[in-house]
Amino acid sequence: MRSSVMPSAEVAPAGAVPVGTVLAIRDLKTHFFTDAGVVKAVNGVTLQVREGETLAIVGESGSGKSVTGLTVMRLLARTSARVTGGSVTFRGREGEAVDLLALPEPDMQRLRGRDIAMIFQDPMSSLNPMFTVGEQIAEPIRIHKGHDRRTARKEALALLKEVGISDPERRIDAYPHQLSGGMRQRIMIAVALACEPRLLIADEPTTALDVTIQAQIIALLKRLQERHRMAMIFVTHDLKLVGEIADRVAVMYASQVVEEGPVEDVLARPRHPYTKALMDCIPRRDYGVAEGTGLKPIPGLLPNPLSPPDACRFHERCAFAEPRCAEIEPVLEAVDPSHDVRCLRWREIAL
Amino acid sequence: MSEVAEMEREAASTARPLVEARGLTKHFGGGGGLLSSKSRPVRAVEGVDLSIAAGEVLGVVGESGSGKSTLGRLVLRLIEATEGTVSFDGTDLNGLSSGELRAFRRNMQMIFQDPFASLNSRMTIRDALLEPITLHRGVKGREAVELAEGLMQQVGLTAEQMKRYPRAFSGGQRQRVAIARALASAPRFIVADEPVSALDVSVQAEVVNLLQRLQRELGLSLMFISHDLSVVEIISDRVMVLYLGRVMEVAPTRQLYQNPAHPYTAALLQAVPGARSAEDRLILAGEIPSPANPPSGCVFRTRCPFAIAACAETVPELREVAPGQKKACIRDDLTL
Repeated sequence: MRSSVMPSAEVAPAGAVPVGTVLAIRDLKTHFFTDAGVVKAVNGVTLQVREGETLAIVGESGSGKSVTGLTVMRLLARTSARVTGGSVTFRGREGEAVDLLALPEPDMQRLRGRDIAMIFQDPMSSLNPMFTVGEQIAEPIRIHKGHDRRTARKEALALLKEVGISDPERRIDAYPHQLSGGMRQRIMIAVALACEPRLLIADEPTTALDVTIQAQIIALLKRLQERHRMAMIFVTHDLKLVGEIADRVAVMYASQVVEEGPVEDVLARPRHPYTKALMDCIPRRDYGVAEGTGLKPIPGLLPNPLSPPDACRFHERCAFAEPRCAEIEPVLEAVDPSHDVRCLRWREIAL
Repeated sequence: MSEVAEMEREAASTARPLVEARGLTKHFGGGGGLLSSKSRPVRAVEGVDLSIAAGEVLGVVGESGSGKSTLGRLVLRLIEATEGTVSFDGTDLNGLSSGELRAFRRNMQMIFQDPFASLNSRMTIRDALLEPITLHRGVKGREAVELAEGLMQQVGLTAEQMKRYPRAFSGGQRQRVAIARALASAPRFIVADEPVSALDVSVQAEVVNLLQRLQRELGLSLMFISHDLSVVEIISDRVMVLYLGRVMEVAPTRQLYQNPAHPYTAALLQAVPGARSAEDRLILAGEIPSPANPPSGCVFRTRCPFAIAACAETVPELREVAPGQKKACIRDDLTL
């Protein structure tokens, strides 16, 4: 993971991370080295999330949203993925700043599960089919908190109740396959929360669930977050869900953040043509107003990940593109102190 | 949608149905299989009546386990019903021999969620399209190729792309190919089972628009099965809500979304992100029960916030509560 371009731990001092910020990602570059060439899956992403805050990272397949989360957790295979630049600074419980990318693996292991936890779309991929759910919730409690089996089991039972598993005394001895998808997702949340992490990264945790169960899980995550003052990064493809769960949103397109700001601002007044285009693809409740479905698809395809343009990455699909958009690479500019956009034309276009 | 178009579509839906099902029921298993000495049958679909007019889109919604996919297969007689009948343009499908049914299939096609699963990876798109054209239309040679080229253009692809294999296409393009293939036999009725659920939203919008344009241009009848209530709303004329294999409510789209009559419909609509603020949302507790062991009386009563003792007694009949709107709920005193 270490590389010559990367700043060492000393160059990411605590002062660089404002008080209250739990995680600061700076100019992160995660590249995959494939036989066909280098895929710059994350290319210069800067984000931060504060205590008690939820940051949504929204984007379509191939935008780099999941790779960003996996890089923070250092869960990518070293054989193909490499961080070639940037820093990820985590502020621990005592306020100490830790450069996650420079941390030796044993230290990272201690941090993972205790201070930073992650949940995924498919709970079966992170739950072990050979162990009961009680054993799997108790494991991080024993490892990170040093509790004995009996105490750990007691805490596991309390967690099962907290995440809304009915009949927890019986279910604690169930195996994952004996539970429904919604219940497995609750179990995964219980495992993730077992050590009261400061940061939870949730990667499409409700995508495979029915809307009624999704509503239950979202309500649960919000309740738990408020209670534990946890910071959360919520990775999703669903803009409508962003409005429900997040305080801030970062919109990713082709490995870059193209817009970032408070949810109400971004959804009510998007500044980047891609954000607006994404919103226009979503069915809205103004039935009878528009002729046809009223959906406006985004023409064209994502740029080839092996050779994205050295210009605006969205220009080929953008309704507002000018010749200069195909020549100049836009940088993130501040619309106001809390809202950034990566577009050469944001001042002149009305979306 | 313009007023006139809407009136025309409403008139169409009152005409003689093209597809009609009565008492459709499907039980899986039970009756002592190898590992099921005491297992009960899974009641996937239970006594469903439906009708779809020529040129009408019927949306079918419900959670996983509601029986919506099974219902789609029953309507096409891709699986045999335990009980009940399906007729297509007056012909009883149960009365057809397997040979007759095969010939009859050109009228009715299906589109699936995963277009990769319905396309042979070793077949070029050209061959995948020529097969149903030859089989169902009896056309060969140059004429068949021209028909295939026409289908490609109809779904927004080029004749040039026919030389390629499915893997050379993106997810959205593959779904276009699957649609072209479904249209190859010139069907009058298509069952689309979650056709856009696996696609990114920008691509989903494209495929929904395409499906709607083709449906209108060709006057197709469409059964649009989806868990996504927002997509169902924009494409359907009427919507049917299923729960544990039973119809909870069926109504014209606007009526169902604006004035849901069944508590389950209301809960489903409110669960859609952004539909309600979190505070005044009706969040259903628990999960859909096992269809092998459905609750007595109203199957929804175990999750219904308005259930009363009487709900456990009798199975509520599906009855009309407003023009074209039917619900299976005994309570008429609810404000949803």
